[in-house]
Amino acid sequence: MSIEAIIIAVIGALPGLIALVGQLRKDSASASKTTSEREQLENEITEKVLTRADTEIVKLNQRIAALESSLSQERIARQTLEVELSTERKARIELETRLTAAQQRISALEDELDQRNKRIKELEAARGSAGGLIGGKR
Amino acid sequence: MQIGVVTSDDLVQAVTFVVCLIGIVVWFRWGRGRFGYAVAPIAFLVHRAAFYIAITIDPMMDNSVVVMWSSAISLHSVFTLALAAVLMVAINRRSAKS
Repeated sequence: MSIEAIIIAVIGALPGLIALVGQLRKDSASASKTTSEREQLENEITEKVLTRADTEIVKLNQRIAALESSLSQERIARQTLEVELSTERKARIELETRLTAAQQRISALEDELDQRNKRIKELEAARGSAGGLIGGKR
Repeated sequence: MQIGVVTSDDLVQAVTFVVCLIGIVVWFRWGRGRFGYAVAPIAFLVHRAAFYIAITIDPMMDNSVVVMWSSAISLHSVFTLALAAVLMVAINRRSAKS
């Protein structure tokens, strides 16, 4: 292969080489610029997401605090109700005790009344028979 | 070898021309439509077409010139292949990064 052939081949290939290298550099610069812009965009999005997340966390903490306060109030109300229930139970037990005693008293009085009635009937019967004897002697 | 009025060399030149056009299109697409990547195959096509036109216009061209030019085209094809390989490597690397 002669020198002329090599020179012609190199001259023929040179425009392609130059264009290829130029285009590669241009694309590389464009790609790095695109990468930089994308990173910046990602950073902005991340910052916005973090800010939004912080806001949501603050709102959730407030909501949790409100719920805890409400829960505390409900607990206090439940304890009050439990105390009232306990008092009412004691009162009911006392009333039941008094009721039992009164029923026993009533029962005792009824028994005593029965005995009195029985005694009255016996006395009346005795008086009746005594009256008959007095009339017969006359 | 001659088939009718068409010689085998004409046939080879035509096939080469068509294949070269296909190569340009494929290379252009591989280069994602950027014209800078298609200059090398177009330059080879122009080189080859110029040789074919010159030898058609002047069939009595000096044999040493024909041999020299033909050698230059062969070497140019090797350069073109090398440039294609460089382009493929560059685009593959860029694709891997992204």
